Amino acid sequence: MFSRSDLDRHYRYCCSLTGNDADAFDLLQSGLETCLRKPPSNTLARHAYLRRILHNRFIDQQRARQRAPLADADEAFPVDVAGATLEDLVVEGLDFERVWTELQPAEREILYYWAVEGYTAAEIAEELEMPRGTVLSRVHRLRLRLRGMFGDAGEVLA
Amino acid sequence: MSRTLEQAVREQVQSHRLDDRQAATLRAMQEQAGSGHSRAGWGRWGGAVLAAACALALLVYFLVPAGTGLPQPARIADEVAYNHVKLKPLEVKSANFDELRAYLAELEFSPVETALLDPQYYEVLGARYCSIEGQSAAQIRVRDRRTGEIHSLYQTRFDHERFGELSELEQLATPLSREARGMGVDIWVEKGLLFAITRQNASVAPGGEPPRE
Repeated sequence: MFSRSDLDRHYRYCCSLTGNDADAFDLLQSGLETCLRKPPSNTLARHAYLRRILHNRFIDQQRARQRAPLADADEAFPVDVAGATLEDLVVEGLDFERVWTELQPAEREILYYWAVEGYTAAEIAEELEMPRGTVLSRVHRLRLRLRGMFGDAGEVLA
Repeated sequence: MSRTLEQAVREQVQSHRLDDRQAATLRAMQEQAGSGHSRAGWGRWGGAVLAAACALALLVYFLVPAGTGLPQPARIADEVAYNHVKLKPLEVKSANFDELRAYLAELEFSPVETALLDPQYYEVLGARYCSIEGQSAAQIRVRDRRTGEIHSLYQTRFDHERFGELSELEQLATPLSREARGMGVDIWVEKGLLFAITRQNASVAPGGEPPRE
């Protein structure tokens, strides 16, 4: 049984994927329905199971709608990930909500795991079942993209 | 006001919360699924069961006052215990409370040291931003010098509107105790802030005195 705070937590994850509240609730509701058919008895496993369902279902929805899936098209190309960190980015006087909605679902998902769940790149890689290098590549591109978006709005980068 | 990207993302994400009707719908789905007879029928009767669950949720929504379900102390205890179990990385590591306060400057309140944790027995390890019931909060990790146990101490502004079910706590001299996820959680109000701390021992409050409700 998921508590109200558990459901809020999963709802926030859905909001990060979908970028809007209505789709997030639909995703959570349908994912929960699937999860309840065969719920793991262990609490932590149940959360992980639901999270996995939500992630996979969202990908399926994106494919069905012929929208960009969670993976980047140019992900296969190697990049220099030496500076792949987000810790030093500073937001000042920006309409961050607008920036948030303009990000790709894959970008918001990584930011969610990093900022809300406190995961490292290795932990995000484990969660998303992808190589750590792929996560670092995404972080690197995300950093460039955010710098571009912040720059347009006159943001300060430490 | 400048803030780190991490803070901006956290605030953006945590601004989202299920409304009472949505929560009632999901709760009804779980209760329906947990009733036993429905599990096998989900695949065949999924639509009908879902419709029945939604109808039940709507009934609950219109007949029961908003915010019911788990009482607020139980919800807070569950959220605090959940976060404690995850032991997310500390964002600032310091035993100096002034340093923690400086790092947590983006909060809408200034974290304070509680009189219930004697520094002689409790060592501060560090802190991170978090939330309780969707409101920004400080999570401070402390170690009991006597036992070596790690506890998570939470603080947030005591908003009477948001924490209305806890208003009685202002009159209590000792914490309210709840059990969640196999551990104890003590909740109290002090200096205008709502506090919650995890503990392994279910029968003894952090100050060493038996809790009362």
